Amino acid sequence: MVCPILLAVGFAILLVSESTGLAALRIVAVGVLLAGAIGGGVRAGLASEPPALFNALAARFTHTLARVTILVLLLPTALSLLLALIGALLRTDYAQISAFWMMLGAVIALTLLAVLAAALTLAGRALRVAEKIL
Amino acid sequence: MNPAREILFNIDPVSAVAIYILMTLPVALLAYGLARRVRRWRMGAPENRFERMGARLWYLLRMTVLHGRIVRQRNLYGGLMHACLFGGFVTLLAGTTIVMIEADVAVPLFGWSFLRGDFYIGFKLALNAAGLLLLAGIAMALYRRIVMKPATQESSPDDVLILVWLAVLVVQGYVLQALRLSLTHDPWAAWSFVSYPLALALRSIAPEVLSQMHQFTWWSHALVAFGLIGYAAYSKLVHPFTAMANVLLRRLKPRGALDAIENLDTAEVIGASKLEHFSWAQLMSVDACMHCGRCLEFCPTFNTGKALRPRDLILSLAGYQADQGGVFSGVLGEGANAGRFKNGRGADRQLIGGVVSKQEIWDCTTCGACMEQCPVHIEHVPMIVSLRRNLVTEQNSFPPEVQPIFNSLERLGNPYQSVPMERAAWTKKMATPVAEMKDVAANGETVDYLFFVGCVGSFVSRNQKITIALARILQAAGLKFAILGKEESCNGDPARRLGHEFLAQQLAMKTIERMNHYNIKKVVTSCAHCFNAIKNEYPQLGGNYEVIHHSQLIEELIASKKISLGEGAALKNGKVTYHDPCYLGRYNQVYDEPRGVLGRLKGAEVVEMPRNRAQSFCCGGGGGQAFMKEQGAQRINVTRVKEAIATGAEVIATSCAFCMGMFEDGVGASDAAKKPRVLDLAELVAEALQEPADVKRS
Ligand code: SF4
Ligand code: SF4
Repeated sequence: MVCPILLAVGFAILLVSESTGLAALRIVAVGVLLAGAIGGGVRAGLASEPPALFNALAARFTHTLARVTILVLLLPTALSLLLALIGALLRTDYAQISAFWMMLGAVIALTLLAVLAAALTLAGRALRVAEKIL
Repeated sequence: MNPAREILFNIDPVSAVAIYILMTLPVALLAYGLARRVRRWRMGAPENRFERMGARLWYLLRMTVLHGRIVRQRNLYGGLMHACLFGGFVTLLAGTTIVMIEADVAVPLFGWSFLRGDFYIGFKLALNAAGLLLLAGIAMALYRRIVMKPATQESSPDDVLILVWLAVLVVQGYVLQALRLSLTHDPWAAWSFVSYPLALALRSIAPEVLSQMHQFTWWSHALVAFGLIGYAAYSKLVHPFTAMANVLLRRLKPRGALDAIENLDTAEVIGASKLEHFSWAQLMSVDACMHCGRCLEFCPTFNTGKALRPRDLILSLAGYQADQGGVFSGVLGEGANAGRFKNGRGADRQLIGGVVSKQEIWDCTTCGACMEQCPVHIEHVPMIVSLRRNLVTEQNSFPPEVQPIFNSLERLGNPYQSVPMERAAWTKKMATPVAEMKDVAANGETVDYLFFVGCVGSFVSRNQKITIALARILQAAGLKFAILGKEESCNGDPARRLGHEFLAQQLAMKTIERMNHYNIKKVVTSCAHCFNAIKNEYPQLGGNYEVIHHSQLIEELIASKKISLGEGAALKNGKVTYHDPCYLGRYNQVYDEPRGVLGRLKGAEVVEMPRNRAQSFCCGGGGGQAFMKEQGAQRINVTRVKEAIATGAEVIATSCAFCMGMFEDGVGASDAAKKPRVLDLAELVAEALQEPADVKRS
């Protein structure tokens, strides 16, 4: 019971800290929240019969959610990069930017996009292999 | 204007609270995954691994921060790759922690903001560089897995996933920073040298859009990071925890010493037939394996296509541990992580036979190449011997050819079914007599050294020549030495490595009793196995001596001019290559003295085999293999002999009784047009000895 209580207390302190502007309380809240989370995880882990919730979460998390998460969460980044690229290409009259920075920006954006593309391809391949195996 | 940044820029208060609440989920999952493992480890047998904590911590620091065992000359690519990953990741982690300290501790509690000015500029520079370092490491790792594909590495989806995950995290970090810089127009933004050009490119986009993109990316970056934290305990990413724990709590006893079983007569179980029979530290060590495959690189069984692959053995144990309520580090699958399922799956399997096959257990030569290579100090040999101990003692199960060896050791004190009376027969071939300890003691005299001849040197005619050569050298140097003669028996090494702990201790105790009776202080041996056993294992049973290997003693004698060398016939026209015996080199770090001896021989051109010193390749004779039938088409000794022949050497020099037999056999089986001679260091030296008049050639 201690750990859920710690989590609730941490949450309450955090709310107080944010609503009153007492920023000093935030670190206390974070400490209590972490103690609750770590304590809860450790207690559940050391139990001979771990809580079903933890087991289910761990299993889902490791085998499916992990891979889906990474793909879904990649989208905003990919979008930002794409926008950056378009921005770099379209901008012609912005006085502060030298041609050098424009070019460098485009090169870096392209490199990062290539890394992402490679990463996505590999992740896709990994997913297919994993699906076959599991 | 003082360079600084607004922390939680563009983040609304609800998000700022929500992020802390959300953080608890991955942290709890990480704690849960780690605690599940710890629970399993605690089921192991007790073992003290907490002594000398200061030295342990210092070593851990060297191995992690300085990458002691990770970056090695022969593994430069992998080592540098890991250094990039480690350096980049740790710097970025430190950066996030610094931001947290600034925002949540320093400013709110003390009103002190340190993340500004020059420090802030340096901070930005360092983090931008760290991201590139991490990306370089990721690219190297992907290239190695997808293009280079070394034989020792098998890739699983988990490996690729982790790398992609890290790459995404870094790219998101850059993009997030670029989005912020494109909104804030900080004059010092160019110090963020990777994000800045991106920020410039983004500036043509409407600020409202940029602001939304920033918020999106901030959330996705946070969630990707949380995902990684939560996933860590269930993947190879757990290794910063498990590997560091294993390095910190590694075994500090001499590597050449297997632990003796105390109270053999009353012990409930001998060896390991269940995971619980291993010590807690051994159970922890199997969870520290990160599948790197370095243990395969110089493993003689892996390199000759045998069943035993040390990595797969460890992963099989780790998988079994996971089946019994622990957690496995990675995606489980066949093909990748094949070791995990090689012998089936499920918690109900028997450890021996169901998880690790008997063939794997008996394949091992106990050469220690796996342990030498393993960057996280996993010790395979003690676990394999534990399994053998159980097979031999509890299940009476061992290869049939081992039975006569055990019988002979038990009845006659040697593995060759020779009568003990014949032990000193070789002395008859000596021109100058060799004294036996019983006579020396009867005369009330003492000796400088007890020459522990060993069974091979006493009974095998080829090795008797080495024994005679060494005795001649000792005589030429004017040393007072004696042998135990028929009072000598096997030192116990083969029995111990074959898993017969009762017999091993019985033999060792007998020898210790004799040596202590004669008040022996110094022992010289010409066999690496006798050397290792007496030096490292006898202290466990009350035998404490200064033990010196003949290569060390000969080097000392030449250096102190107690003997001088002329021309040796064997080396007149040829090159010589030296084979490092595992029990001399890897287990006892004697590498330089034998080479020193060879270097002092006139006309000797010493050439190294590609695999030498700590990365030497076993001759195939250790761990009792000299007495067993080798499985599989490829033979270990023939493989090593081929390597020696490829150097163009005309002489293969060694300094171990078992190596000699394995090499003679390997050269015999080789189809090389010009076969090299196999000689012990003592023979080469004795041949070149300029003897005083009273020591005649035998
Ligand atoms: S001790 Fe030698 S033979 Fe045995 S697993 Fe290790 S490297 Fe292979
Ligand atoms: S046992 Fe050690 S060397 Fe072998 S794969 Fe595991 S971590 Fe790597």
